[in-house]
Amino acid sequence: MRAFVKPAPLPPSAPASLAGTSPRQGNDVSPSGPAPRSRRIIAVGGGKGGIGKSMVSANLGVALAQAGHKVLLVDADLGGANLHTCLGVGPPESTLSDFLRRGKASLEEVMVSTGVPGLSLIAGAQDSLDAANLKYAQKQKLLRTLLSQTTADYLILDLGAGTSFNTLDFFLIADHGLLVVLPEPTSVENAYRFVKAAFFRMLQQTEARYGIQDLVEGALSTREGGLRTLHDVVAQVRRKAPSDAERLERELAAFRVRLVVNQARTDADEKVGAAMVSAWKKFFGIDMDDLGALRYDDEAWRAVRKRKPVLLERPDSLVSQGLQRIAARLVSLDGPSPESAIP
Amino acid sequence: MKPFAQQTYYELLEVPPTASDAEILAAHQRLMELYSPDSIAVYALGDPDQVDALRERMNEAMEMLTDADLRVEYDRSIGLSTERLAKAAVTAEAADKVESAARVAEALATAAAALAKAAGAVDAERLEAESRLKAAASVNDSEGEAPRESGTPGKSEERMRGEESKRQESSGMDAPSVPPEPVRVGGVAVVEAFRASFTRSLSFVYVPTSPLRGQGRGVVEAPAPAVESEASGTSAPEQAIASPAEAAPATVNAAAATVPEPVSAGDSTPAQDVAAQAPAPSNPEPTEATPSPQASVEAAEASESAEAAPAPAVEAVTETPAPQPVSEASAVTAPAESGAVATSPEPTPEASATAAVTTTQGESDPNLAPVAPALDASTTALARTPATGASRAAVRPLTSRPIDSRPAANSPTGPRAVKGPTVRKLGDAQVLAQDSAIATAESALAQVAAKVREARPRGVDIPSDAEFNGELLRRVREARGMSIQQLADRTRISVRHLENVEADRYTALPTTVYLRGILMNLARELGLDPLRVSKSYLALFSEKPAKSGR
Repeated sequence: MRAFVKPAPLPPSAPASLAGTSPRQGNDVSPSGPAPRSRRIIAVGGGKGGIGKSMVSANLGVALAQAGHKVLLVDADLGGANLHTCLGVGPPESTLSDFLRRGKASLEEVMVSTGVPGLSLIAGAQDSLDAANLKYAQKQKLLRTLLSQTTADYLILDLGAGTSFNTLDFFLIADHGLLVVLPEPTSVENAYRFVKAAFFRMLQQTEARYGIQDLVEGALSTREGGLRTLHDVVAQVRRKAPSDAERLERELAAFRVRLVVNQARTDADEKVGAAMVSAWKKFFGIDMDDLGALRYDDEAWRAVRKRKPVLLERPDSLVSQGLQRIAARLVSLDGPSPESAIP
Repeated sequence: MKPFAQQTYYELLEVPPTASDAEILAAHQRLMELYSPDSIAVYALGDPDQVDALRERMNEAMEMLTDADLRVEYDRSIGLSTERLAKAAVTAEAADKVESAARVAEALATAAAALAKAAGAVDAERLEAESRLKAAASVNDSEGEAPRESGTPGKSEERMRGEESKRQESSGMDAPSVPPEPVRVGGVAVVEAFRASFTRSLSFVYVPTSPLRGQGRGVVEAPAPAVESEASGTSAPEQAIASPAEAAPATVNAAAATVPEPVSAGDSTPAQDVAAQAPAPSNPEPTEATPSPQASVEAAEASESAEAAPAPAVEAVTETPAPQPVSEASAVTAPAESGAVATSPEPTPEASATAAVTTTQGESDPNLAPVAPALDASTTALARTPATGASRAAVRPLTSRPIDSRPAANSPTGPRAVKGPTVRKLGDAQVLAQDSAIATAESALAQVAAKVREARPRGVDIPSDAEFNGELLRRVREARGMSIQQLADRTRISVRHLENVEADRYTALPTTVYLRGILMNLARELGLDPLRVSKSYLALFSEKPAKSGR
């Protein structure tokens, strides 16, 4: 399990302090919090670049908005923001970096409208070329703000490529971690790496609470005989404190990665998602969900060329149908629809 | 959720413990595809070695679980057996307890009546047999008959299971289906034979309730698959396969056969096809009514041994392939044979039917050849005619053996491959020439016996509180007939380590972490509970003298 060996050194302060804003804590609060409706965060990641994360984010946003939800798209691809392009929004007046660096107090101030009713956008940083290197405090601010924002029913985070902590941390605050994957070895490889990295990042965040710091460090630095899976980690914790282990297990199980296979060209490609779910479960004992596949469709490509969401441009195309299906599944996963929750 | 190294075979194949063979095979195939080396979905998932290991283990799981015999043992080893057995026992017992006594009595009565009717019945049976033969002949072309009727290999398992289930569900009823075996031997010792076989069948009746090893094993486990196989719903073929064995006696020696036939063979349509084949040997029979004494003696022996060794039968795996070549060789010997017997392979349905019979009979020669080279085709051809009477007897052990050995018919190596032939042979068996059949039966039985001798220790008695030290592991390994080298090859644990483990050379062993892996692997390969073995051994290991240092 070499892939688990994440040599990247962790800022010593990160795990402990991050634990404060850890996803589950934040989300556990939200339903009973001030939000009048159930607010959901969807993060769209995938590890590899160019696999359609932004396309999926933008179109999911459109689909959900069309379904009557209030949706806020956040371009969290800090170093390579182009979600606004996917939506056909010109260079935005205000961006995330305004929020992060210019002291804008709230996200509302940097939101731009997209022309789609119910769908607004927080564009990624355009100006500063070092936007990708988000400072820790800035990230904390952003994470906290995202978690506490109440204006939208759905918050969609479009993540960048790679498995940097910045990316992973955004992925982990989400209720639905969407993993976009192409039926190609390169993409699959990166997807697995991404999920592994995400789960161990999560462990790092929780470890302080469970006193398993050593364990996680061990898992990250041992090649053989170490903790290969989350199951091992839980087993270790159980040996120390059974009650903690249960809680930890619940928390780990609560975070579910949901696969979206993009650019499926054959029927076999469409099954890759299910196969990955099955294999992942077999190897690591963790459930993923297969949300479905998007067929490879030139319409998607044409739409990007036109800088329009394919869902608006070609609502009848194969890929649009697939996107609608995925959006519907996401909504159904959240149980009772937000509308019904409206007082 | 456990990492796959610790998953049970059922978890590994993602099937419920009650899964049928078909489900297991389907799951296995699906997973093999999923984890195939060129599968995108597992690319970079783990180390390639891990995927290989997983595949290997899945193969192992499939082999283990589709072998009824091994499955029982495995279930027991993972503590599942009790449930399954309990479940099986509940069904079997319920049926048995209530009905077995009544059924046995009934069957005895029927048998008695049948005996009384025997003389007349023979003729009737023969007529019927002939008419059926015609029917079959018109349907089947002469050469393909045997294989065809025995059905496609794919269905075979269900049939086998069907048989098992038959035996289980109506063991009291089925009891008489076993007896024909002794009965036919002389047609004289019928009553004794019946009695003997009844005691035997009674033992079958009770076996399901008690988790015996040895002979019980095959039977004990049967109920579970039987229950499952109901779902697959191919009851007709199931019965079809059960019938040839029972129908054969029916035509050959009506006395014995009348009992089983109405009971189990009668109802299914395919059964008649197969039954048509069964009568085949009886065709020549009328001409030579007297069994050759020698043959009958041998047959008696054979059947005796068959009787005496239900457990051997369980291990009958190896002998099943032997008869298999029979059908393949048929084309070669057929012409010569049919000429010799003077049954002209004319296109008339009847003639072709007989031709089929003779060819199939001839087939047994090549089959026999490796076993008893003394007999060449011509001698057999000649011998066959005079000794037809014996052939019934000879054939019987053959047919009956598969029945007994049904649970074991799935060889651990290639369950599917072996199963097909086994069933086919079941059909062929009726038509085997007497001499060759005897020889085949004998050699097969010998093989069975040999196999049993070496396989017996398979269930090395391991008390539940046993300490798994090196000595015990060595004994288990030897009981499985594996050399250290073989074990090393299969587990990829070095010979040195294995030797050290078996010799309890704690100081020479690697540290706990590695040792645990070794032990788990080793235990798995030996069919033991990996966790239990590693725990037990590591406990001993940790008590090692301090100087050993780790």
